[in-house]
Order: sequence, then C-alpha cells, then structure tokens
Amino acid sequence: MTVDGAVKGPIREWLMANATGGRPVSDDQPLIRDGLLTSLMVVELVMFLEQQFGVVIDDMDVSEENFASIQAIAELVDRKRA
Amino acid sequence: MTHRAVFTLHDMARNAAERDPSGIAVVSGSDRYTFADLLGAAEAMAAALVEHGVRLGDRVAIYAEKSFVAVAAMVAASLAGAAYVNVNPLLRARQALHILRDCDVRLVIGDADKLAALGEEAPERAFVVGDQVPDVPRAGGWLTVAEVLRGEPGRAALPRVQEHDMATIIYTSGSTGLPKGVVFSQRNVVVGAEIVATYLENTSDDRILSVLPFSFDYGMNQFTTALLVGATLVLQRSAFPADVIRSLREYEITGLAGVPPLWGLLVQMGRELEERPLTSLRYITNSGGQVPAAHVAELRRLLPTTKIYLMYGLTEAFRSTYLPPDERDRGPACIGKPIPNTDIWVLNEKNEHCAPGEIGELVHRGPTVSLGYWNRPEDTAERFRPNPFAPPGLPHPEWVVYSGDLVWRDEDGFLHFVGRKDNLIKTQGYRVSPEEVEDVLIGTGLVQEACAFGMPDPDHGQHIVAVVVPRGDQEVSADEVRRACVRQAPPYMVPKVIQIHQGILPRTPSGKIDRQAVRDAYAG
Repeated sequence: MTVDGAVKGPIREWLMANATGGRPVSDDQPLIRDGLLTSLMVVELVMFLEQQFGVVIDDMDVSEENFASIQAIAELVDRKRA
Repeated sequence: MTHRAVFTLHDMARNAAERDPSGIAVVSGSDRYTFADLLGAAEAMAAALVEHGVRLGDRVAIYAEKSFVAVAAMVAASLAGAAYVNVNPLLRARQALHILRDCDVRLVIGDADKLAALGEEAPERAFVVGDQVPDVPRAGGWLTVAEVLRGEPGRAALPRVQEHDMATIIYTSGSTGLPKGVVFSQRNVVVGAEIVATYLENTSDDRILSVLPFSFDYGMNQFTTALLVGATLVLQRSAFPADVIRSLREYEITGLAGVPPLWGLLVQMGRELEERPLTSLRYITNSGGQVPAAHVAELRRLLPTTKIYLMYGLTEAFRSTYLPPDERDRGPACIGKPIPNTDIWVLNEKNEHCAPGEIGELVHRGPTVSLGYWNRPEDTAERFRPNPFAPPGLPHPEWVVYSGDLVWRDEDGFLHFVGRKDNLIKTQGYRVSPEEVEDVLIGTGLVQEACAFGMPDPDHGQHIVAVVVPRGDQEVSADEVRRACVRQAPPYMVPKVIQIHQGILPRTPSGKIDRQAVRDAYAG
C-alpha cells in the first residue's frame, strides 16, 4: 500500500520528539523491536493520531503489528480515513 | 504414585517431563514445546555450558527477548550448577554491561543484536539465539544456540547441584547506587514457586500468560509456578493491550500476572471486554505497586468471574503478602496478609512490634529470604539482619529482611502500605534508584549535576522528576536532555519532567547534593 508523506511526516515528528531522542527514523525501522515505542507510550501516540488526522483508532487496533514501524502506523491511519 | 522430591529448578523440569512428557510446557506464537522438549533442550545446553568452562557457582547471563530458548536457558544453567542472570531485554548496552561486569558472568546466552550492541566489552563466550553469529570483532568465541542444541545431551558430566547452591541472581535497584544483584538459592526459587502455586491454586490445567520480564522476580515466578505444577506457560512479548487481549482469548489463558500500568491499559479496553468477556480467565495478580482503586473496581466489573489477587513482594525476599480475592474494600493501600510459611512483622525503630495502627518498617521472615546482594557485604548487612526474636540459645543467626517499606497493621491483621523510608523510586512496576537516573543524565554529557526523585502518579505509582544543571556555559533545553536520555536508557528510566537549574544544586553540610532541599524547591 502506498501512503502519502503527509501522513508519515507528522508521525515521524512525533516519534522523534517522544521516542527516538531526536534521532531520525526511517519508514521501516522496527520501533518496538528496537525498544523505541512501548505499550505505555502508544496510548499517547493514539491520542495524537486521532487528533492530528481526525480518525478513530479502535481498541483492538492497538497491537504491535499496527505500530511496528512508521509505515505500519501510516497504513493504519490510511485504513481509518478510508 | 512415587513421591518426587523437588530441591532445584531442574528437579521441577525433570518431574514435569516424567509426569507428562507430551504436555505443553511453553507456547511461543504458533510454536508449542512439550515438557520433554524443554528438558531435552536444557540438557543439551547444559552440556554445552560445561564444555565451555561453566562450573558450579559461575554466573550465566540471559540477555534475550522472551523465547523458548530463553526459558530453556534458565533450566540449563540450573543443571550446570550456574546461577542464571536474566537481563531485561529493554536495557541498553550501558545498563546491561553494568550487570555483566558486576557479577562477572562466564557466558551470555543472548539475541544477536543485543550481544553485538555490547561492542568492545561484549563477553568472550556467548551462545547466540538464532541461526547466525553476528559479524562483530568480539564474536570469535561465540556459537549459535542452534549448534548447541544439535549436540549430544550426555556428552559432558553435570555437577551435583543441591538446594543451597545459587539458582539465580536478580538485579534490582535500591535507594542508592546502580542496581544490585539479589542472590537466590535453589531452595528460595523452589519454595517461592510452592508458596505462590499454593495460594493461587495452580494446577496442570492452568495456562499462564507470561507478560512480565523474567528479569523481575515476580515475572520469573509465572515460569517457576507453571513448571512446578506442570501448567502451560504462554510467552507474550507484546504488552500492547490489543495483543494481550487476543492472547488471553486465543490461548484461553487462566492466569495473568501484571503490574499497575497493564491494568490501566486493560481498563481502557472496557467496551471490548464487555462485548466479549474473558470467560477462561480464572485469576489475575498484581504486584510492583498499588493499583488505583478505580481500576480495581473497574476490573471487578469487567471480569466478574475472575479472582483478583493483589500482591506485595520485595525482591530481597521474593514475595511477602497478598490480599485474597474475597477480601475487598479494605482500602487501596491494603497489601493483605503474609503468604504461607512466612512471618511479616511491623517493627519500630527499637525493633519492637508496633501496635495496630502504628506505622513501622515491614520485616520479612521466611524461606524466601534471599542470600543477600552479590559482592556487597555492607549493603547486605543493612537490609539482611539477624532475627531479633530468635530463641537466645540458637548459636547461628537467622536472616530476616528489613524492607525499607513503611506499613501499618489493622485490627484484623491486614497490612497497609504507607511509603518508603528512603529515596527509592517505584515507577511502572520498576524499582529505580535516583543515582541510576542521575547516571544516565550525567552520561548524556549535557549536564554537570543532576538530582532525581519520584513524585506520586495516579497511573504509574510514581513518575521521575529530574533537576539538572547544564554543563559549562552550554545552553541546554529540557527537551534536548530528555532526548539524550531516551537514547541511553530504557523508557521507564527516562524522567517525565526535567527542570533546568541555574547555578549549583543545594548542598548538605557534608557537601553532598541536598536531595530534600532540591525536592522541596522543585516538587511543587
């Protein structure tokens, strides 16, 4: 699935501010496996996504698979906007 | 049926394999491993440990994500007479190296990327989880677990191991300094499993979800209780709420152990749980901090057929108290009554029993009292002291643990938690010392002085506040310091609030940073 940069940009900025310590993060970098994103932080990220993109993320969407990388998160947002 | 004695962790594994060799011991994703698989892998790995120079009393670290290999490695170390040291996979190289150096590990069993990240100081000997040894200069003496498991189990003679031998070292933070290793004997581990399995009424029909890290005494306990009774341990790497709920359903989990943040996440899934109730879940247990009363009430509503056990334990004595599920509404700070086979005392400064309602220090006496802190006689002498009530004719002291936790006992004998005597921070179920946080802050190179403390937090027990003085004339923002911490420390250790202080921090007459004065100035 292709996802436009307008979705990935704000996600990347949020991650750099809150998870990676300012380090750039690529679309495919494994966020959870690399210990950058935890289950507690994801609650804040979900709130950010809902506000930023005007989507509703269902409880059962808050899984590692959907938050594994910027690509995965952007695809989730895209599905919710559809 | 023949009586099967249990003196060691590997006795549990052998007994389980003999009772029910094809029973499922471990589930990891779509993979299932029987008790025979577990014992077989552990025996092969134990032989390899001995072949690679591991001897009785040596330390073997396990630095890996949860996996069947990580579980088998604990049993393997036990068979080889070595103490296993579970290193939390969340730890970065800086914290992991402290542990490996502190207890001078002989060999590490770990994930390739984690071992490679240790750089120059990576261990000489390692078994790498997976099929390939990473391409790093230190990897000359490393081999893969896959190779190890292909070896003949009987090729090296295993030592005689008994209950007074060391079983494991668990690193935990105190009120000062970097983490210390609490040493557990085989007896501590076995009796800890027996006590907890007794009051949770575990049987071989249980399927226990392992969400917490094995590096945490309470997290290791799900494994040891499952192994003792022949229950199935389901490994759960993700603590994301949707994943936890999927696993609870898919594997029809009967027992779930968590720390307060997990319950906060589950409560947020209320509608999901209302629509599709978790009917298999027989019990949940909490430890590692107080669950907010509102969350307990909500869990009772969402899980009407599930028993809720609120537990309290300090790593130095494994487990101490629990509040049985039929006891409720004794107040949010109630930690219940002593676990079986254990005395919990509330003592005043003169070492006398406190009257009901009077606040004193929680002191633990029983068979789970550990052997002390590895290589730290002074710290050990402070926490582990002779039983003050022992009959005077006994020539040898019996060690009891002075917890540093302040509690009181009510008229019905229930204990209530008040707080800490010292500066120890309890956050997200973890114990963190102020110095550990300050070490990370100074390690960023951005600050010259730092003082960290805990502040009450409704969701996380406490959150960490740090007051820092920028280095030299540098202009540094709190955000920059925070970002640098994120790179060098696990998420739970990163201060939630960072305050920049101009000038030097307040000092005590002896010249140390005056923690109380800093706290008073910045806690508001």
